[in-house]
Amino acid sequence: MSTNEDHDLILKISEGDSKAFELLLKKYGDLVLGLSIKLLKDRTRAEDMTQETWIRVIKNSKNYSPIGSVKSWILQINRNLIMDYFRAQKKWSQTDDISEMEIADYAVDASVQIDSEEKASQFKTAFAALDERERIVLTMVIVEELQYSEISKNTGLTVGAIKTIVFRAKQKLRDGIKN
Amino acid sequence: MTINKNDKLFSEKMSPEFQKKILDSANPLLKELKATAPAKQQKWWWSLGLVTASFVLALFIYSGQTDQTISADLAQSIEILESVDSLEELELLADLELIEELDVIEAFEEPS
Repeated sequence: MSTNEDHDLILKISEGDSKAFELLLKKYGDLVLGLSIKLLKDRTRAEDMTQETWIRVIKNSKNYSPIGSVKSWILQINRNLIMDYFRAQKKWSQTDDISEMEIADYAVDASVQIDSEEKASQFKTAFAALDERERIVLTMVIVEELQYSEISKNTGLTVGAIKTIVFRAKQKLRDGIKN
Repeated sequence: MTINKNDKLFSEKMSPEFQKKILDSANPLLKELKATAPAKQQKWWWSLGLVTASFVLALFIYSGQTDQTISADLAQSIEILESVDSLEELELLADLELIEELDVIEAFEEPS
């Protein structure tokens, strides 16, 4: 389904079309739930966040402006909810403990190879072992494919800090998958 | 495959029950939106009607003004023609573009 079709679905949802909502839920529902579980590491809370995300998709459908993809817009709603939860739980900090390193972009962007079911399982375990900030920032890079400047705007972290977080997180993932 | 651009790696299959739970919580909101949608459409028709009416009114006023302008010009021309005593005077007025040159001069010449 193309991005334009996604935009049409949002428009129809804003007019109360339940079929359009069902289609959008089928398309992105598994991803929103999966991300929520991986970020929160708590299935019950993740289901609550997922449900709230979809309620907000409906409520905000009237204000949706077609800049960027619908997928990014939905994931952003979900991520904001999760970040608010982390902030309330004091599990999110913007300033402490990041000693920014000089990291070249190619080092940060180096991908982790997942070429078997076993490695996929190892990846999930390694990802779950990352801290809240690393999980959020890494999903913004990997799943939402945001630029560092956009991540900086969304999280309040500096671009240097983001590069450091991504570099370290990927290092941990690679170590987890090798072992 | 790589973890980059791989949504599947991050997805978790929703159970039918959980999917139904979301749809059930969504339905009242969607109904609410549907109920407000016709009102929005009616508003749109009202706006279109208002714009059309304004346009017709503006056209009517403009054409009235044009008629008035033509009438005033005509009255002025008649007044000028009535005060003209000679062909030279008429040609002078035509040079000054106070009256339409050819038609009026021809009309003036015909009776003589």
